[in-house]
Amino acid sequence: MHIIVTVKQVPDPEAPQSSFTVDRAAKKVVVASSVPSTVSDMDVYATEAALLVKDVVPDTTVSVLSLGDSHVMDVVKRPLAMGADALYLVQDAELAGGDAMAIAHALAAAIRKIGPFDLIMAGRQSADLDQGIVATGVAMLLGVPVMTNAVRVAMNGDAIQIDRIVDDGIDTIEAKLPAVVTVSNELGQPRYATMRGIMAARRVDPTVWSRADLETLESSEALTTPVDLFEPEKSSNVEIIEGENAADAGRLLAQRLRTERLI
Amino acid sequence: MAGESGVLIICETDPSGELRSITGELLAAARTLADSMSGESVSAALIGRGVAAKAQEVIALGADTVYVVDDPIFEHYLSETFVPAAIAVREQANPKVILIGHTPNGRELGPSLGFRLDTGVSTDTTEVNIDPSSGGLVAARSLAGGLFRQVTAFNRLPHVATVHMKAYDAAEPDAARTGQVVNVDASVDASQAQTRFVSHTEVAVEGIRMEDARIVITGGRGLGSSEAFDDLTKLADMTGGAVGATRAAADSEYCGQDIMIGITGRVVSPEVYLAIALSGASQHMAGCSGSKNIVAINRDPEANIFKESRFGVVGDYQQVLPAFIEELENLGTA
Repeated sequence: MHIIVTVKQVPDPEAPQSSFTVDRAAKKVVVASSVPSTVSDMDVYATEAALLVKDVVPDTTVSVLSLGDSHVMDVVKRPLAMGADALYLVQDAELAGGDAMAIAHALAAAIRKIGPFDLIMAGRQSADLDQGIVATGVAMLLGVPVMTNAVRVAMNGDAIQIDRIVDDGIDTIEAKLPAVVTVSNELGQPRYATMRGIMAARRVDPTVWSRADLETLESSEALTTPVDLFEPEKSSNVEIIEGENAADAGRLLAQRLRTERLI
Repeated sequence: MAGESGVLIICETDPSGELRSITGELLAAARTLADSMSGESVSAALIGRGVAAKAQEVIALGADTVYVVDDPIFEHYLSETFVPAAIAVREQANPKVILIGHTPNGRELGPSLGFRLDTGVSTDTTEVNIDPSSGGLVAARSLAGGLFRQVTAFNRLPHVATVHMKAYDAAEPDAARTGQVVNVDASVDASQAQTRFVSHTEVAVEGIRMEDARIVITGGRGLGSSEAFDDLTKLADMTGGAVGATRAAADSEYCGQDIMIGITGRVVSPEVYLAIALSGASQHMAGCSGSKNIVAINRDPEANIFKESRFGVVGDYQQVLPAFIEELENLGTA
């Protein structure tokens, strides 16, 4: 079985908020150079989901595919250190900066070039843009079913079965292979990289492609136009309740909320 | 397709066939858009099993035309069946704009529909407007976990947006409103399906459902233990509220993942949001910024949560909270 995990390298979202500013004219987020890169968190869960399948299906290969313009090897090799087998990098600033449609086209083209696959796994949304569009697009472009927001994955015969959280419970659904599955953090704690995994990851030579290598890339014009990007203003007018000590402040807060008929 | 006009929304129903609250929210958003398109109409796609009876309710909430796709095959959501159904309605309604709830199912349907129609999609949109110069949709959404706002226009029709839950208030149903009901045969061939619904498991909720609660009491990583969450539950029981958590608290296993609020969790907009020992990271605020009154208890006076709050106490919750609860007990029921 061949599983491809799509992984996005993002600026660490845990970095101080002051490290992220906006160039309003260019409509771009500017990230301070001190901010380290990391694997988008949901993609780590996607890697875990792929490895859970690999754990139980013999002869499974997990390939990692990442599209970007400044890959840091230690970052994009993290899924390998967790247990994935191969790494494909598409390095192209123009592609990486495109809209969701353009990125989906590029990933679909790269997947076709990698070769036959049974499963594609991706995080439910990226940590920087939070859009949750691209994986669905990849499925549509490859003509395979998509199931999103998996919190459990398991093989059921030759189908992939998932649980997904819906409004009032959990739906269990399944898809024939090949299929695309997006994974959510409720899946459970991803495994840690082992020392052996880290050593093995070091020895993996990534396959690196540029836009020109993706011969099957369909031309796709952008479907959206950015109009504005800005930091919303926060009008802070909090009323701090003070007392003789913390407990007293707690009592006064209760009284105040009661006066306001809030509690 | 030329001659696009008006706004189409996709209704959602629960397993018992009742309209979900997002349906009213979408109709309210659509009404505002249609009115600013010089009075174009609002249509709604009602897709499900045994949902035809709900068409009048959809009209009462603001639709001019309801396209009903009623078939046992639509009892449970699967993109493979709902996308063709939505496309069948779109072909009849021919809207300029399609609005879908950013719900567990809608966040799958929206991008799927966008790619199938070869058009752009804005997801988790918090505000939709019509640009007076172009007559097209402009969609605002949060980015980087709520740190920034992004406004997007669309290059091709129809313009598709999934709308953040609770971003719009539903109108009061007006039983006197009239509209047209059109039955649509989506003719989806289930025998060719690649995906299959297996089962639905209800998750029992203790106490009041968080999304319906007037008061939500949320703990952050600063609580430090699962025992501390028991105190929050006590306070919730006293006040008729529900307990929530930040992702950091849930990841620290102080509580279950199911009560997590935020961009990757649930979305609430209660009357009172009591934020205890949480910093107010933008990823969390994305799930509660619609709250009417945020009240914060945090020992860090610089915590972001105070910038979002109406009332606050700077102090260690371990001292503040017991006194707060005790005083509420003294005051008796409201």
